[in-house]
Amino acid sequence: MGSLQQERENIIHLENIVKRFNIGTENELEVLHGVSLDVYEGDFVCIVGESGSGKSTLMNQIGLLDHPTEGKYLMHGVDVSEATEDQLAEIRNQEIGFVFQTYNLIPRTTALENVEMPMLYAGVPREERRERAADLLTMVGMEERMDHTPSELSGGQQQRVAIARAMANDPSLILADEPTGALDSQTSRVVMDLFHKLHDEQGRTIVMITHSATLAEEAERILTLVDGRITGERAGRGQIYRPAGETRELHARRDFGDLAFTEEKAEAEEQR
Amino acid sequence: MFLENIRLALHSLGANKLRTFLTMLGIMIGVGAVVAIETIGAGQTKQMEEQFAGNGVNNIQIYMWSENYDEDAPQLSFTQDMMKKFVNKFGDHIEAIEMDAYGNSGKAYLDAAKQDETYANFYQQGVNNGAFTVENVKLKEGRTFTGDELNNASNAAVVSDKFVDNMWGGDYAGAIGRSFTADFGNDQTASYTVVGVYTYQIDAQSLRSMDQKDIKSMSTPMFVPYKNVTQSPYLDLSGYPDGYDPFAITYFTLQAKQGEDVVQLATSMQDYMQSMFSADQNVTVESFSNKQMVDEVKASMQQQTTTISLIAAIALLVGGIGVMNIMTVTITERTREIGTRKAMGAKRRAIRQQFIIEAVVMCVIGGMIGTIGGLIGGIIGCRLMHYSIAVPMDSIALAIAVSLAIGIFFGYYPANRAAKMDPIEALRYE
Repeated sequence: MGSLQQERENIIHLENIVKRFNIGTENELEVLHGVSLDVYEGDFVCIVGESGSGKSTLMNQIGLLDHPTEGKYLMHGVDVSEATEDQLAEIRNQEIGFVFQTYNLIPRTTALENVEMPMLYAGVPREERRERAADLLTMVGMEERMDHTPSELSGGQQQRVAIARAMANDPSLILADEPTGALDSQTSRVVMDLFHKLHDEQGRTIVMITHSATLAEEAERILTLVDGRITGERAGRGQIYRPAGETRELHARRDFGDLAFTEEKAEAEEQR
Repeated sequence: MFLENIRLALHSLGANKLRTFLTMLGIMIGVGAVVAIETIGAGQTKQMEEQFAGNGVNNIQIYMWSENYDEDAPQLSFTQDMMKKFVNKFGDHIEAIEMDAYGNSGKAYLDAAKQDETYANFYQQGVNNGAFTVENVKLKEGRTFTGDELNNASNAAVVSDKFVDNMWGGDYAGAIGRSFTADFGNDQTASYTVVGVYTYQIDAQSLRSMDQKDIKSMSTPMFVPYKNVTQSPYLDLSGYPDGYDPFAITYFTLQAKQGEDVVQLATSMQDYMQSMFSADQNVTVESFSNKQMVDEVKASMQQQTTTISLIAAIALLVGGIGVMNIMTVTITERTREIGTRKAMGAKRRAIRQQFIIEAVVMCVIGGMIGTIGGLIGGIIGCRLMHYSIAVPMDSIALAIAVSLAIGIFFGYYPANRAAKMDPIEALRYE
């Protein structure tokens, strides 16, 4: 790891995480075989793996949706491996912003109310919630559609609302599970741009899980997950950039400037 | 959070209006039926209370009968001597004792030739002045009887205002001192002079079922001095054994003074009068008070209410199961939503509260609609049965409270199931 990382706060520290299912039955299955992983403040990490590699299980571990069978999980240096369900709910509420492949917006509920939802569980007063939700929707370019329900929005728009929702409680980490998996390439671009914007302009920490190697290249750090083990880490470009293959030193991405502009991105801009 | 959940509940119930309505129907029918029946019951009670309000709850009736009744044996009754002793003993507790002897019924008119136009029907009642107090007869004009009239069995009459309406066109003051012919049938007529006019109290229920013609031909009591009946020259005792007194006292009514324990007093009076008869006379004395009757009617209504409540409880149970069923379906349908909420930091309590409130809101709205429907139905029922109309506020409050309880009770299980869902499986649910 580079020296820059050591100056930044360690947000997530996974140590030899093992996850087994159906323990004690003949169907016992070990999905994660001792995964270790560190995420630092401001990281843009991508975990790439084929289907069946244990991606989802790892994401559930990182997202504190599940307890590990073995191993240690420190968040901001605090051990959360043994936390109770309600404690985990509180940590998820405050520290993690989820973005799902299927958006998972609450049906028949406006974009604004959807973004308010995590703040509701955090006990934020109504007025403040309203205001912040409106600001976040403006940030993702959805200010015109705050009162639309999910069924009145396109997939890309729904995902933008979901990203705004992930930001609601100003989390330490945005955890995105195949965020563009259900979108066409153009809308995917818009959503990816949004992640870059959050990362570049606000210094947000992002962990993205995907099966797409192309998308993974846009992250700074790429972890490869094969059969429940992290088999390697390499640096991504941390930028949208073509042709592929060119690697750069981590966190020097801001030097790239206009070179980052690809034809694809330009097209997407026009669409907007 | 609580208010948010209510808003959320209204929102999601509104999203599925038909289903919500059908689910509410069970609660609506259950609550509606109870409120309707309670409204009718309250009307009935109010009616009864109105009737007794005029009839004094302080009244006590003492009556007797003999087991070994024999036509030839001397007649058994409360003798003058017994009555004197009774008054000596209980006089301090008594406001008035009523003496009454039923005379004949008949038709009164002024002019025999025009008796088809100007007439009034009556039934003759020989009374003492105590009867006016006990029966709560209110004089509009004139007076009750003088001592002379009572002693001399005079042909003096206290007639009803209805009687005066028919005879003298409602001139109550002018009727005092006037005479009329009382025709008892069989060519038996006598002339009576009006000394007083009383207000005839007709209960609201009877009045509602009568038309103008009925009111005109209605027969009302004509009070005359007690002896005027018992010593009537027209008294025909030919069918009775020798020495039989048709006016022997086998029962009498009295009014206890205000503040007396009526039920207790009635028992003492009963025991005292019983002690006047020897065992071999085989006489039973009993007492009866209006207070007792009111208590009994109230008790029987209470019983009725309990029975109805049981039936209603079954209806509400069925309704409640309907709510539980639909909540279970709702929760299954919204599994992903629950998973998402949990991922976003909703604790078990928050999820549980959300769905319990949804069930409660559904039940309470159903209960309110049921209450309104039941009230309307009950009032229509009261109208049809000529009851007074009373709104049973306590039953309404209870109905709403029960709806709330049903919501909590039947909402708890599905809500708890939602609260305990594993967020990972819930998120993955298709």
